[in-house]
Amino acid sequence: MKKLDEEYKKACAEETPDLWNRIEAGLPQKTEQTAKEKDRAAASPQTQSSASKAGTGTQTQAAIRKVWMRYGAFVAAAVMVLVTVPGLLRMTQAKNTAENAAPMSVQDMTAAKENTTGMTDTEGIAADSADTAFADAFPGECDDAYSEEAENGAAVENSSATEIQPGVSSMELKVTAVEEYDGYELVSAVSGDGMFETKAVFPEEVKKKLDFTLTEGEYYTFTLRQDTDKDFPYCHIIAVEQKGE
Amino acid sequence: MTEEKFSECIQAMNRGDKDGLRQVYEEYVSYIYGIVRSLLASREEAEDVTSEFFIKLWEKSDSYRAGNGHKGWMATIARNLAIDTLRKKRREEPVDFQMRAGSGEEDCTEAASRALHATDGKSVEDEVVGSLTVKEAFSLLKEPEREVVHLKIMSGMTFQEIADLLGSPMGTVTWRYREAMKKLRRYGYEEA
Repeated sequence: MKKLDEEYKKACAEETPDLWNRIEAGLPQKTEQTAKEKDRAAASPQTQSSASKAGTGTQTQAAIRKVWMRYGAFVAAAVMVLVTVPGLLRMTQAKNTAENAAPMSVQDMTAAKENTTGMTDTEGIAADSADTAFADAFPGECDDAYSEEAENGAAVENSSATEIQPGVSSMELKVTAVEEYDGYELVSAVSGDGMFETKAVFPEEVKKKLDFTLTEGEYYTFTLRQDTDKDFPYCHIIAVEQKGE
Repeated sequence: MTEEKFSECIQAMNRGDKDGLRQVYEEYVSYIYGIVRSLLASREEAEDVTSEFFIKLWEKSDSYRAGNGHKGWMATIARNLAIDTLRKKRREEPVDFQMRAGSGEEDCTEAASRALHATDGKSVEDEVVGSLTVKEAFSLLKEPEREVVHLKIMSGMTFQEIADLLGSPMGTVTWRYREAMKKLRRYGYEEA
């Protein structure tokens, strides 16, 4: 019998091409300032570990702040567009209904048709703007939804139709676990049909606002936001409501 | 490479010292390439993604947080990059891990398949055992089996860590590993 480990490692080493020159050529320069910043950020494992144990939650807050600073304006713009478009649509429909109810001359009908067409075009533009704003807010997010969820061996969320899309979504989920992980308070939750499962950071500021505590096995309405930081594998809880509230 | 050593390399990278990356590259290029190759059919794409992985590691070295297993962390990033590439290419058919050693060499799957179907009056098993190279033997495993065995051999991660990484239940992972080992034993390979 041949030794699998040895043979396989040998075969892998033989098969692996030498990519170093190519990699080295593609490395961006790190400036001294950047390096200093990173040095400050990089703490020893022991320090990080004790910081995590202390449960300060500063890392979580810093990550959230960073993301908000970067994408807050885009998110706000996208939300505004999403809120105003349905309103405009409803107004258009109401107007058309009123006009249709009244007797019309041929000229009126033509004018109404033009109005309708005009509004449709506007609506199209608005929808396009929303798409653009969304795409700007989350560049490459669709393709890269899977990308770099890794954070020190954290579980990879499976890609599926039930994956939370970038942005904010609200859903009723059952809490399956609340745990401390790497300095974060993580809430694991699953939908009633079991099709959707997620882990989300439960920020201290959200927690403080609640007059109840999350209980495992109970259903809550969660408002979740997908993290736009490609290195951050979890969603963020931005609001929780008790079922029936 | 130990966790401490890896952390040192990361800190070197954070300071802009390419030697830190070089050490990680030398230690793990086969591991990363194997993970990527198990998901991508094209060797060129696997090379691109492997290169991209190390460049990304350099760029994002400050996002590493020590103490949670660097091998799993790297494997997750490598898998995600490979899956992103797959998505971009919009490939629909599942991809087989075919460890082809060179452009002139024949496909391992074909070679192994031929070996399996060669009879000449002997039993298939007699014909196969001892004649397959490890590449050929691996090409006969299912893709998820290959991935688990690759991670187990090359990273030494526990089954739980592999399960977390792949997002599969641990039972599934251990079952895949056992199934793979059964097959590999038939081809004359045993665990160390």
